[in-house]
Amino acid sequence: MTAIESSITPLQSMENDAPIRKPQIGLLLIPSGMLIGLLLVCALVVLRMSVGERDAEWTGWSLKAYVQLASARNIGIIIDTIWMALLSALITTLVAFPIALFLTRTTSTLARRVVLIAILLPMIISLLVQSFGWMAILGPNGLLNQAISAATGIERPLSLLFNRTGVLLGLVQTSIPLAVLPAAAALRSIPISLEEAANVLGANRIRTYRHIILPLAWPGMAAGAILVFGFNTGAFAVPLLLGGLKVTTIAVVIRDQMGSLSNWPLGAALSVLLILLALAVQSLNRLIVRTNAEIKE
Amino acid sequence: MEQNPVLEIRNLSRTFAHGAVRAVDQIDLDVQPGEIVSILGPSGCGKTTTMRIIAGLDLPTAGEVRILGKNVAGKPPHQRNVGLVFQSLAIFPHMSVKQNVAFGLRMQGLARNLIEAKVAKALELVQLSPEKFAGRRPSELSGGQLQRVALARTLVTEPALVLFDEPMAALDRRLRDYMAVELRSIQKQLGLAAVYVTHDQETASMMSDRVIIMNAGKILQAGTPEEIYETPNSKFVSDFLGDTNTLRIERVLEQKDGKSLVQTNAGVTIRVANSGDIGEGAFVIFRPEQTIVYPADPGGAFEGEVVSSQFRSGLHRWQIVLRGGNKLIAQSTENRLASSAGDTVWVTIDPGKARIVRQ
Repeated sequence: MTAIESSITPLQSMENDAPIRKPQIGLLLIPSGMLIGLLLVCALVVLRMSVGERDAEWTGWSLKAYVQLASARNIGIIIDTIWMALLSALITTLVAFPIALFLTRTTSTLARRVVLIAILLPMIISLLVQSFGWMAILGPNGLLNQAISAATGIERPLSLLFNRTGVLLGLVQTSIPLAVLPAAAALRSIPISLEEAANVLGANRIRTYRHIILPLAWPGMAAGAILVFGFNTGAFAVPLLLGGLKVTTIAVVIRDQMGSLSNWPLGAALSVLLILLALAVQSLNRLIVRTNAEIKE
Repeated sequence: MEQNPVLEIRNLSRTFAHGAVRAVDQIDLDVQPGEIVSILGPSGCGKTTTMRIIAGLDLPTAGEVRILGKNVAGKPPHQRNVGLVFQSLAIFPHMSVKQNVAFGLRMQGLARNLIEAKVAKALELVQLSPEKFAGRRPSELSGGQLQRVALARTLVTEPALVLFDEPMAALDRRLRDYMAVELRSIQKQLGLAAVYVTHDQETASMMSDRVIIMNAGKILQAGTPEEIYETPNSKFVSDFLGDTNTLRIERVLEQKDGKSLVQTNAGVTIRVANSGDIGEGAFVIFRPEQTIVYPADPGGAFEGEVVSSQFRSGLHRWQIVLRGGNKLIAQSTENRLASSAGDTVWVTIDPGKARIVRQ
């Protein structure tokens, strides 16, 4: 089980010892079910539009949108999007691990609370605000460049905005909570005695991490990485503001096609692609869950 | 030839909260080659802290730990040549039985075929057939089997000293007794030096060459299980090792040849097997099986009333309230009373066994 799932799986005994009168727990899902149902209808509408004609989305049938989707420019954007999502997932997971370790190991409640709030900030503050914040820091005359040129004398030493570096920085920063929380949950579930046992058996700190901690925390870290990847394939505000016109992602193209260019079928086809990506990532998650199911009883 | 101790602990202390809590308070302890020493005490007595300090998982605030004559201060656990069987067993859940047992050998960097051979031998030693169990996952094993894996994983690295942190606490009584006997025979076979930490006096007695009773960070008494059971030096030690009857001493009537005659608060005088300087709050203690219960007054006996009686595993037991209000447990292999609650009985105490102790 992944860390996320094991934290929400009911106790075994609750499943086995079913009470005589079963409460209708299915009722609990009605409010959210209605919303998700509506979303499913919308997804079907998108699917229908993607195989429609331009300006006749509801009546015509055509695969033209998918042909357009396969154009060199669009393929480039798709690969770009996936590549940046992949890279950001990797970097975020690496950055998240020590933070998660700190959260599970610190004995100071205050420190844990402060770090946790700092970690959760990206989820509380609007992506737009965060992106503008990065612009102020990374811009040609931003804080970072000013500081470096003051220190080195080089004028505008770094080009960080309106390119991939800027977008990646933004993607990593905004998705840190998604990676930290599952990793912390996984680390918390590893008894300290396993680490001590490895230690007494002759493993130094590095080998203990390599042979014990990382293999056991891996499902949680993978779950976080998959969340980050899924989240960032659909990224819109961050690439729009930090990528400028140079870096375009699928979500930005969808906005352009459905908005100013009013090519609804192409926009819909790209949306279908995004949905398929999300589903593919989900099944990848299931795969990891299955290979780890036997480890955690 | 005089052999050097495997473990020497000198004046060891561990305080918490800036000295306010003395978890381990100036203890000394030696373990000789081929010897199991049990540290026995209630939870919080400092026994686990002592063991963790020996393993290097905790650091002492004062004192010295020597393993095979070498001071191990500042050495991390992986450089101490000790083995530790954890209370939780700490079997690595993501590794097979074989990988678990091989872990310590891999860390030593042994050759693959040597590891294979040693793992198979270790599994056989703990009576897990390598063909059947080597490939199993820990989640497929029973509690007793996990116990064996933990033991094999520790023994396979041939540590100078093996530490046991109540590894059998989670097993039921029958399996625990069985494992204790087996562990004892493996220990004899290999000539292991070991420290066994537990709060279970029965397991400690079965397993150990010597027992050390700890309370509040201090060693109260050390000796063979029999010595401590027969001649406890305090009421606490006596209480901790099985059922004890206690009578408060009112007056010492006579002390001669290392024996005493004392007046108890139950109104009867008792001859006891030791003597000593008895201050305030001294007691006569004796075990339930050191009493004889009579249905009629044999003379010089305590008179009392049976409150309840039980029969368990071939032993008859009676809870008796004496005339003075003292409660007492008597035990016998034969049902010499056939008496039930409410009957009046008379109790005598074996004068060669009863002892006087301080609080």
